[in-house]
Amino acid sequence: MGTMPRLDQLDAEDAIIEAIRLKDRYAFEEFVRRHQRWVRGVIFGVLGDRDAVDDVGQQVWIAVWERAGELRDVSRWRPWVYRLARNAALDAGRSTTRKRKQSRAIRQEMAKSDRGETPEAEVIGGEREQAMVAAIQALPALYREPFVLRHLTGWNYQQIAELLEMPTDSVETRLVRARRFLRELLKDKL
Amino acid sequence: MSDLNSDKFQSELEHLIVRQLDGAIGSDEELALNRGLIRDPQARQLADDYRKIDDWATAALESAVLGSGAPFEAASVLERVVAISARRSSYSRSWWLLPAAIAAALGFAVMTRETSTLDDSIRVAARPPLEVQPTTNVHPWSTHRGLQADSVRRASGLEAEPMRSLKRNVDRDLLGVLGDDGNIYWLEVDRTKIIHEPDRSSAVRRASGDL
Repeated sequence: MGTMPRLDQLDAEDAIIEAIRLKDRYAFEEFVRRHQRWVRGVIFGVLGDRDAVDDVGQQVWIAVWERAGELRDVSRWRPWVYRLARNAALDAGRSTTRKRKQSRAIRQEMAKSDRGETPEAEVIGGEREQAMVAAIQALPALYREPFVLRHLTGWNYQQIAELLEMPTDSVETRLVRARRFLRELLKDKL
Repeated sequence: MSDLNSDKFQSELEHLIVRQLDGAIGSDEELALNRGLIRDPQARQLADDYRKIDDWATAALESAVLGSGAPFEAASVLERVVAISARRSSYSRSWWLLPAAIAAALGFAVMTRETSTLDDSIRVAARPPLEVQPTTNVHPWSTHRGLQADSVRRASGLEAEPMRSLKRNVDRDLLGVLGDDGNIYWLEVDRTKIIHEPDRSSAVRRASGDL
């Protein structure tokens, strides 16, 4: 979490974006490495489906690689990437297919069978993790998005508010309500 | 009233707990929070629960969203992205082959048609001289107009008038033909018109005979 760039350091990212516009693969690699965490957080926050994060994330990076030249104001790269991620996640949410549901069911079955061979502590930890992920997925997207960003990136209220383009107070309120929801959903586990 | 105050106090405490967890609490607020936690066991429970939720959520999200590590490797993402991007652009290039092929086919068809039109014009040049009806300016190949002209002629009583035909040269075509021996042979073709007009001399003769 400490490696995440702060908003006041973002000017340095402009040069990376400029290099990506010129199809510099090293710059692109660096960009993905720096920002993959929050981009994946946005996708999961919007979609609430961890199985889709890889595919949608890949679409986002393809879009960044192919469409960086279309970005008029390089300094506005973060809202641009955010919109790419958000729109890709919304599109994926609309076109969730039966195939994906089937593959998820298969993976869950495989996870269950794998769990049978793991030590008890890991089973408990795994179950708790599964329950937490399920509870976060069950959160309304309104609360899930800032909650995931907060916990994946460690950003403060102002940084989250800037990205989501909302007042700082709203971010705080949503984070309080997200925890309230989760506490209710996980009351048996706490 | 005391319930309302209690709810408000709980809500304020909840906000303070969350702010503390998120590292957004001021020193005065932290003091107030600690006082509240000492006084209220429910608030302590709430703070404990939220702390657990935060710890578990961070661990669960790290594992669930960031994956086991493989998808988080920037290099592998780059490889896949560049490969997919290249495949897409190659697909889009091959997609353009279809309209190009259609355009080529259309071009070929147009060229063939033009060649055939050229043949037609040569054939037209070889047609026998056209006959022009004197009573009308319409195209002589138009049957309908020709009938109209005949009916007009009959109605105006000109049918009885004797006609004569005059053959006139109106144009000359010069055609170059490449012979089997490699020489170019020039053919001159006179284009003529046969013009029908009232035979005034015979009319005059007839009139003078009648007299």
